[in-house]
Order: sequence, then structure tokens, then C-alpha cells
Amino acid sequence: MKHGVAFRKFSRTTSHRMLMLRNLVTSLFEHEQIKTTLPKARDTARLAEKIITLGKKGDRSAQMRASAFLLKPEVLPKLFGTFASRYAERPGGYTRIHKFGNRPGDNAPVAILELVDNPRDLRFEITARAIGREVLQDKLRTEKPINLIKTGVHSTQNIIETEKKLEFGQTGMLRPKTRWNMQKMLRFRNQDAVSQLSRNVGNYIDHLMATPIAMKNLHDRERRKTVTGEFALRAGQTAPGDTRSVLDLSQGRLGLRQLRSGPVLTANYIFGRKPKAR
Amino acid sequence: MASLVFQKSRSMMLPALRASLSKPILSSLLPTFLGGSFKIPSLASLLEELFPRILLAVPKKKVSHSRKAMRAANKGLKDKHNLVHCPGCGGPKLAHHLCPTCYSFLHRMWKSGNKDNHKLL
Repeated sequence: MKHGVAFRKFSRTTSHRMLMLRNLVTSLFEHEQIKTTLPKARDTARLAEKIITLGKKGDRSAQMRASAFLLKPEVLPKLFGTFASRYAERPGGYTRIHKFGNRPGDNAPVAILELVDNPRDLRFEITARAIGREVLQDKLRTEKPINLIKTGVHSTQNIIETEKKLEFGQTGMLRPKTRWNMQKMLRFRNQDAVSQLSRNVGNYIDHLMATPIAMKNLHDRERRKTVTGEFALRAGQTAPGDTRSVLDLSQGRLGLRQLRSGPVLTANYIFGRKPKAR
Repeated sequence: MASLVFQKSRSMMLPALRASLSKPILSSLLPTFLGGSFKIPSLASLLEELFPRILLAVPKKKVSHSRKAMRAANKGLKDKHNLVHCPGCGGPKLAHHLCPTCYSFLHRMWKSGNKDNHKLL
């Protein structure tokens, strides 16, 4: 029986297994974000956090143990410098695992293992995108899409500052889950992170507003409009303001088309044929 | 050799043949130093070895279309129920997994950030 055993064997001998995990940890410290199978990611995360704890200690014996474990000496100054200062206030949990589907060759479940608060923090970026999308959806309820594109959205820093202070039960512009993610991201970081987040949010809002313009230019240049005058979207593609279910989105043109529930930031809504007002 | 002898004593297939072939005929013709104890396998035991009883099982009739279809009733593809909206792009994604659209966008952005931007296009 194997109840509650903490370690995986990976069908390898002890020395091979240990060397593989040491390699993975060294690569994680070097690149700060790696893609591997999910079980390997889980074991690597466990070891990596212990080595980062050694880095935080910083004394002579910790240095000797870390240099014996890691396989590249270039990574050691990063461990005792960058990571020690980055995680000085954080009590553990220095790594994060994102599940990412299955690998095509052997259908193995794949995960992206990253160090928290690294320059390419995935959760930070996706939270920024979520905030951007929700801010735009909120603005679309009051303003017309074409006016919104002309004026733009400039208040992202203020929105983030106000949402940061809200408690769990209170209502604000963002969904509760998005607000919680944002607060988590900013918890152990300094004020630079807030400005970085607002910059990312602004960039993503600009991207969303520029997409219908770019689509129209592309279609005009290549005359790719369909017979009915639509700017065709691929299956699964959406824009802010779209309220369809996931199954309808996945079916593309075979699914339910947009309900007349509100404005959507697509080229079709702004430049295409308008539905007849009833 | 011992198994052949054992099977020979147990087989009930061809008792007439068994009776006639139980006496070692050829071995008695051989000189004794070449192996007087050599027994040639009987026809019954040979048949038992070449065609064991399990290989003689065979379907009696062609399985009908309806019965075949009933057996295949549980083999259909199962729906995925763990599909949710991605908060970043709004498109469909697996629950508790990364959105592939968002990750692809970000990854391309990081890759292009590493490229040398001084090349004339």
C-alpha cells in the first residue's frame, strides 16, 4: 500500500531522480518560469521552496548546502540576492503552479511552475487583463463604443487604488474574485507594483479598443467581409460586452449569435450592419 | 516427456486408438543403449497438444446489428462539464487551468521583447 507517502519515484533510481529534480530547480531559478509535467512540477516546487529558505538564511552553512544542491554556480548570487530580498516578508509559498492542459505526444498533464512576483508573473498579467476587461465592460454600459474609443480610459490607477482598499463584502467596479486576486498580487509588493499593474491594465484596454479598428482596416484592405456584411469572428473569440455562455461561444457561427442585450466592442457592432430597432 | 505420459493416461478422446498405441512399438526395435525407455507420443496426446480444448470455442452466429449496438451504448464520448469563461479574454477555457489564448498572447509578447528591435523590416 502507498497511503500518504510524500515522495514520487518517477520510475527512476534514487540518484537519477535526485539529479533530475536538482536540474529542474536550477532551471526554475535561472528562468523563473518553466513548463513541465504536473507531478514533476509539484515535487520541484517543494524542493525549490526549501532552497529559497536557505537563500533567505544567507549564512555560511546555508551557502554551502545551496551550492552543493544547485548545478549552476551562476544561479547562487540570484538566490542569495534577488530572491532573498524579494521574499523577505513572505512567509513561504514562493512558487506557483498553473495547470495547462495535456501534452500532445503522451497526453501527460502539463503545468507551468513559476516563482511568485517574478518579472513575468503569469497571475499578475492575467489579473491585469481581467481588470481591464471588467473596467471596459463597466464603461460600455454608459457610453457608446465609438465615443469610448475616441476618448479612451485614463483612470486605471485610481480604480486600482480604490479597489485595493475595499473589503470582501463591499461592492465595487470589479467582480469579488478579480478584486481578491488583485489584492493578493499587491500584498507583498511595493508601490511600483501598483503603477506597473495600472500600466498593464491601460495597455490591455487600449488593445481591446484598437481591435475593432484593426479588424475593420484589415477587412477593408483584403475585402474579407461576408455576404451579409459581417466581420467574421473565429469560434471562441469574444469582446467586452458579450454575454453568451461558453458553449455558445465555442460553437462560433453555429451557436447562438449575439443577443440584443447591449453594446459589444466588436467591429461588427461598430461598423457593421445595425440590427433593426423594434 | 512425463507430461505426455500423464495426458495419455487421462485422455478419453480415442480409447480404441489409445489401446492400440499404448505399446511402444518403434522403441522396441531400437537397440537398448540408444534409449529403451523412449516412448513415441500417441496420436491422442498429439492432438491434445496441437488443438487444446479452449481453441475449439467458436461463435455460433453472427452478432446482430442491434446486439452490437447495445454493447456499444456505454462507449460514447463524454461531455466536458468543466468549461468556464476566462476572466482575461472572455473566451472558453478549462476550469482551474490557464487560458491558452491569454498565455499565447503573453508568451509572444515576452518573446518579441527579447528580440533585437534594431533590425530594419
